[in-house]
Amino acid sequence: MLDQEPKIVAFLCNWCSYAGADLAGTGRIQYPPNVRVIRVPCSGRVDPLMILKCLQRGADGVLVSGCHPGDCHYIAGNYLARRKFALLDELLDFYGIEKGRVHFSWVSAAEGEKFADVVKQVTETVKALGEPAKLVR
Amino acid sequence: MNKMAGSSMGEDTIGAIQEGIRNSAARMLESGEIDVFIGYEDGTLPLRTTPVFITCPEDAERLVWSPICENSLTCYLPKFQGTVGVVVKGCDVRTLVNLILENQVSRDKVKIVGVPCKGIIDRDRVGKALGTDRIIRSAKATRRSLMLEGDGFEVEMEIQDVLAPSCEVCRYPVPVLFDVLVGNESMARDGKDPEAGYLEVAQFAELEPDARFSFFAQEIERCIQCYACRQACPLCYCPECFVDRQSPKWISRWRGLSDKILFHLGRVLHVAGRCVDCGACRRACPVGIDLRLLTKNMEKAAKDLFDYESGLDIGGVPLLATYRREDPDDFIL
Ligand code: SF4
Ligand code: SF4
Ligand code: SF4
Ligand code: FES
Repeated sequence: MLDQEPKIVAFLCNWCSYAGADLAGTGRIQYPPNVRVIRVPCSGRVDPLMILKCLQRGADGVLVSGCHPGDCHYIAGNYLARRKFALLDELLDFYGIEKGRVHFSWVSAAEGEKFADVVKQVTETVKALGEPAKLVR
Repeated sequence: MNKMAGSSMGEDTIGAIQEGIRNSAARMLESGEIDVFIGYEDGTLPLRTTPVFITCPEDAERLVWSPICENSLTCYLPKFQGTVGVVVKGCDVRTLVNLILENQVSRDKVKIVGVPCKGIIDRDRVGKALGTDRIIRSAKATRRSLMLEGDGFEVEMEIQDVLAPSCEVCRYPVPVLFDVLVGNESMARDGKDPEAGYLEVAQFAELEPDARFSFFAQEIERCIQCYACRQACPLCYCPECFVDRQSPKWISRWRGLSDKILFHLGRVLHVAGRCVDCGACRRACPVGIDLRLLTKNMEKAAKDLFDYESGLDIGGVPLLATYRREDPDDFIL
């Protein structure tokens, strides 16, 4: 268990999850303040290397969130991202890096509630994993 | 030397393949259908062959074939402007299929001379079998055996005992694409079932995560970041590799283990769904890091998750350039 509050980098798609986070805010929905949001044009923009770099440079966890399948502003960005993320997930697991450090979610612009839930869940998982040691520089 | 008698038939097969390669090269150069032919010639050290670029038909005599011809010559193809003839083994041609799919090589600019492959040797394994303190002065390979001579010793080894690990589990020893096949399919080894190749990976995955991590950390700690693995890989053709980028600087060469791990994870992700397990990266590594476990696992993941095998279909689409609606989704919140 981590004594400090974990830092979680969240890559949020501009067209959905970012707006979802905004909605959670305007709707005054409470969620843990652990996420540091980076707005990206699409979940397909997130290079797995960016995720790894975050973990290396001190993030306790990473969340990538995009539009639901079928809803991507660029039609297939999230479908293509899903393949990359599935492989990254598999690679990290095989390598022996804790499963719970990296998370993916689909959150639409209308799902403020879901965004808050995702952040809660991710924060708890990351907290439970304790101090990251494996990739940190 | 009595020992060599049994392998004479094998030698003939190798000889026939070598003849076939020379003839094809000479013919293609004479007719003008290619500008250059890329094959192997004897290296300056025993147990080594080296890539050779032939431009006039008379020089075709320099071309050789044996189980020592290890480099993936397809590496050179993205850099050539004209029409090229090239010798490929079963694994090499699958990298070429990928290069064609990825628009790095155009199909009509390459004449593929396929070799039905019996497998190639692994010099690390030869070294282990021989004892590292012995200096090899000359080596001769036939289809089945390897004769090594040095100061005060003469040793014969079975090729299959020193076969490269990738070859042991190779599924497609006969090139899946060619313009000319020298020899015939029966000269190749038997293709193995994919599961045979994934055995090692599956066993490794049984270990505890921490044990897996420590294994890789220990291996990768030895990495000197020479990037020979990248250089040897036919699929690493990026004009500017992520490790060389200064802005953003993804990887540092003096920061130690964490940056080395990041390099390896990055490289593996870049060849995910493309790697054909030719083993060139592993053979190139000067410190003998077992790079295969990681790439092999990605290959298995591509098969398990997306039912995709790389480098087989010239009419296909690369794994990560497409999707299916019903792709695995259960890991997403
Ligand atoms: S990553 Fe290694 S085994 Fe895979 S294609 Fe490249 S050189 Fe061959
Ligand atoms: S490691 Fe990645 S960036 Fe570097 S050459 Fe290979 S594919 Fe390109
Ligand atoms: S060839 Fe070996 S030592 Fe060189 S960068 Fe690759 S893994 Fe590291
Ligand atoms: S635009 Fe949101 S995932 Fe592509």
